[in-house]
Amino acid sequence: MMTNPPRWADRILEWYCRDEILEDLQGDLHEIFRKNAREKGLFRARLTYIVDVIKFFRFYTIKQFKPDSIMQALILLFSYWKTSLRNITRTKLFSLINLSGLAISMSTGILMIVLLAEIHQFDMMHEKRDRIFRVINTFKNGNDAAEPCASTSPLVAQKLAGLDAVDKVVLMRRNASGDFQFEDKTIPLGGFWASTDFLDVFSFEVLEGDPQTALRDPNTIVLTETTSQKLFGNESALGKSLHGLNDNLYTVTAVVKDPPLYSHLQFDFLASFITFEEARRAQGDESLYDWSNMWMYYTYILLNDAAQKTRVDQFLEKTNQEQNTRYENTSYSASLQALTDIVPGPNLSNQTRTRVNINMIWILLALSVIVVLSACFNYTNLSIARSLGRAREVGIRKVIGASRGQVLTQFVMEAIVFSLFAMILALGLFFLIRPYFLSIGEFDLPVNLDFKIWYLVPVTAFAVMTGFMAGFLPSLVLSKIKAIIALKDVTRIRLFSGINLRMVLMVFQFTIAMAMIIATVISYRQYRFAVNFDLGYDTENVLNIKAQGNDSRKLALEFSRIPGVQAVSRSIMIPSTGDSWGNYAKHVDPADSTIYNYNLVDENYLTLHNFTFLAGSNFKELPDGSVSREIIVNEEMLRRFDLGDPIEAIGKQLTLLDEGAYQITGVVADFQFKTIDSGNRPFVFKQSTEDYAIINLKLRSRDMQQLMGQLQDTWKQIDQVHPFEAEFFDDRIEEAYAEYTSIIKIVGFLSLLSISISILGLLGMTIYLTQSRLREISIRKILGASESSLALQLSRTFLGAIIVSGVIAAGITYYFFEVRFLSNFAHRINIGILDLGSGLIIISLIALCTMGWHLIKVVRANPATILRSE
Amino acid sequence: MKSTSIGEFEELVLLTVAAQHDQAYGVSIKESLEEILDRKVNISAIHVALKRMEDKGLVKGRFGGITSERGGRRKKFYVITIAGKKEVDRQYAIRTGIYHQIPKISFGT
Repeated sequence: MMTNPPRWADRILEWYCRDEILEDLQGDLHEIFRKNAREKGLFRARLTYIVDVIKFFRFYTIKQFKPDSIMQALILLFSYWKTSLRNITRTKLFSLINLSGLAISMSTGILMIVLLAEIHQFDMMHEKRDRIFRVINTFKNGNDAAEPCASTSPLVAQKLAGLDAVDKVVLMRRNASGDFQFEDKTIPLGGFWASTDFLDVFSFEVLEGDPQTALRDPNTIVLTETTSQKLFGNESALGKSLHGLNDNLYTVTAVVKDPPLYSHLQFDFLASFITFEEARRAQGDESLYDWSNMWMYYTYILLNDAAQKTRVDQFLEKTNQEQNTRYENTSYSASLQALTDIVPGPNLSNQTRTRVNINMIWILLALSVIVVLSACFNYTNLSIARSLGRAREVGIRKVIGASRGQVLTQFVMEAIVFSLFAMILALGLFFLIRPYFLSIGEFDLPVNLDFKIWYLVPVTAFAVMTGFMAGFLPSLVLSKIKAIIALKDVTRIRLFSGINLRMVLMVFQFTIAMAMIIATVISYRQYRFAVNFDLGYDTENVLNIKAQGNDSRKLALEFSRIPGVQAVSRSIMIPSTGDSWGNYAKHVDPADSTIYNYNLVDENYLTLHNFTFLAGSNFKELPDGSVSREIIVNEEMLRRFDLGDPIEAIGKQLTLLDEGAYQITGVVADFQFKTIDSGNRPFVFKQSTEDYAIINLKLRSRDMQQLMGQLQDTWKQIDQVHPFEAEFFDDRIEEAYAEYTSIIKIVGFLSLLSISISILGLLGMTIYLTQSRLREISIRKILGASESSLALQLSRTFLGAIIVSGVIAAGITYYFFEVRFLSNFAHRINIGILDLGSGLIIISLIALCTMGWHLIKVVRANPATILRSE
Repeated sequence: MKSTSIGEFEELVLLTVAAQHDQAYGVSIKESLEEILDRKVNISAIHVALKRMEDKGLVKGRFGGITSERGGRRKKFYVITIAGKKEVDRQYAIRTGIYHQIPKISFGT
């Protein structure tokens, strides 16, 4: 029994190998194959054969392009180009359909390319970027989920500085912001405390001053160009003194160019870290170098050689273990993150600015690939369907002498030409959708999506690839057509696995479109649910105003005078929007501590927001200077420490870390403190000994605008420097869920795209199918079939495809949302049948309209005229 | 005149061609070398070596020998030329010469 080596490998060999050496070479390979098949089995033999075919792919074996065959190839290509153009213009409708489909999908492709190119540029300006690493920290407390953070403890910086492998260490602290004064100007600025080597490690262009010494001494500051302009106009800033942070005088030692858009570090100034360190020490605070002090500081290291990273990793491992023995339930684990992995990168807490979540990028990429595939399948479908029409052309070409390969090339070329035209359209579309995409600012992508000329290279490559993908299958089909049969009797040609493949492609398109629709529906419902969720207290018409350093009591008093302001209270933070402040508490057992969240509030806060008291009483007004030892807790706190029911809990004591013992004087019902993806934690309300940062106003007025105006005027009387910053609580809550609005917008947009593409495909198929069955329809009509039964029969295949798609789409989205996405939320909607069916319903409706309109036209036509012209 | 220095592998192939005298072709050379060297030899390496040596004039090829196993394709037999034989002799002389210079080396018990 003579077995053969794998045919396809053989064909590859024949394709690339020179004719002169092919014979004996291939003969040898076949002989070896036979021997191996006998001795080692068929599998081994085939494997060896394939490997050998690959190994033979060398310079001396490859066919050389002879000059005159290049001429030939070019002439051929040119004729293909002409034929392609002719074909495109001849079938205008199909061409238009294909073109639009491809163009629409390719515009998303272009969007992705530009987006990726821009994001890739992040932090690229640093010369030493390959050797720069950020130290990140993972915080884990008890049974809570581990929380990775971008910030770490300064102790890490200290320890790493001693390592051989580490060249330089940069230590920074965030939240260096405040007002700076120079002569008569006062300007609010934001920046970092940064250690000496900052300007050495990072490549921010220094305009004035010496980067080596700029941050070395205490009370020195580096300004950006814009800041220097604001304070000193056109004068040189060097040597001038500013009054600012912590009431200090700072000398300007350098001026740098503004950090570019693509830098994850953004600042108006850099103050020398040593200033901060000395100030802390002067206050007697030695906690700076605590291992647990990880929330406000960033550490970056410059390695001598990037290959040394593993050494540093090991060192950090060891340090983690040593340091964490001090803490019982908590651990802080430091590790390295490459500078280039920051943006786009994993979702860490405490990032220096808004992040670009790498998961989001992957999802966007996957979605655009799907959309492009969808359009390609359109093209494939329509082209295969139209093969019959081209069969005669193929037959003639083959008779004249075209090889199968040449016919294949011709049709692939046609698809590529198509694709290139589509690309031009797509570029236009891209500029149209660009502002729309940028306006999805909620996820705050710091990109411009500028289209640089060199982008045309990857975009064209993308277009060619798309064309190839779309055209390959139909070309295979068309090139298989046998010449004689094609010329003799067109109807006798059997299309290759015709129906099944086309139906599969169609189902794919519909499934995508439906899945997108369902995803949009569910995401939107969850979003509205989140925004309207009953938090357990009132947020309606509550306006939160930032005090910005002014006396909160004075502000509260002035605001309360305005008619329309129903109530005033003060607090230090705004809950239920994602922020949280936490600490540790113990009850009686010194070994049992729990983390809790808190808000410092005045005596009016709880009543203004209508918190439900279950026991005890509210805070009383604290006279200046006195300290209160009272706290009001929520039910979760009672559960945590087994304090009994609310009435029993009154009077019990809790010890708060670093603050001492407090007595519970009130209990409120549980409320939703964090965003709805989290459950509840024990919560404490306390009165503040310092000033409050936020004034809460309960407003009631018919003319909100006038009221806002009055508030603004009142503010201006008290504070002329800072702008009036106020936000309605409800607006803030919506903002907290802004990430979801962006997801909804994107998925919604993609749904529109996929719907259009599928419908275009459906339209094309319908037109084609009815055209090819015109004769049959007319005959049936004459024989007495009713119009409706005809329509039904014609649309039967499509209806089947739609239903199958509906089921698949429902299954996929259900799995994704139920198991993956919504399970992350502590509070979420239930996915209903209507949600899952929405895709099916909408597509069916649209399909009905498009198909229906055309079908009706065809079915109503006079059979006599059709048969006469056949 | 092209330089006639050849590598170690090419030398082995050349020797085998000479040894199989007029019956040497791709597969036979491969099998012989695999047996002698006790390691796998790749057929493409042999073909490259043969081609290079043919270009240098050390071997000459002729067609013949169709079998059904080869699917009706002819074999290309290689014969060593005068220049090739000279080269083989030269290499042998060099190696034997140095070999005979080695004093008795004892490697311990």
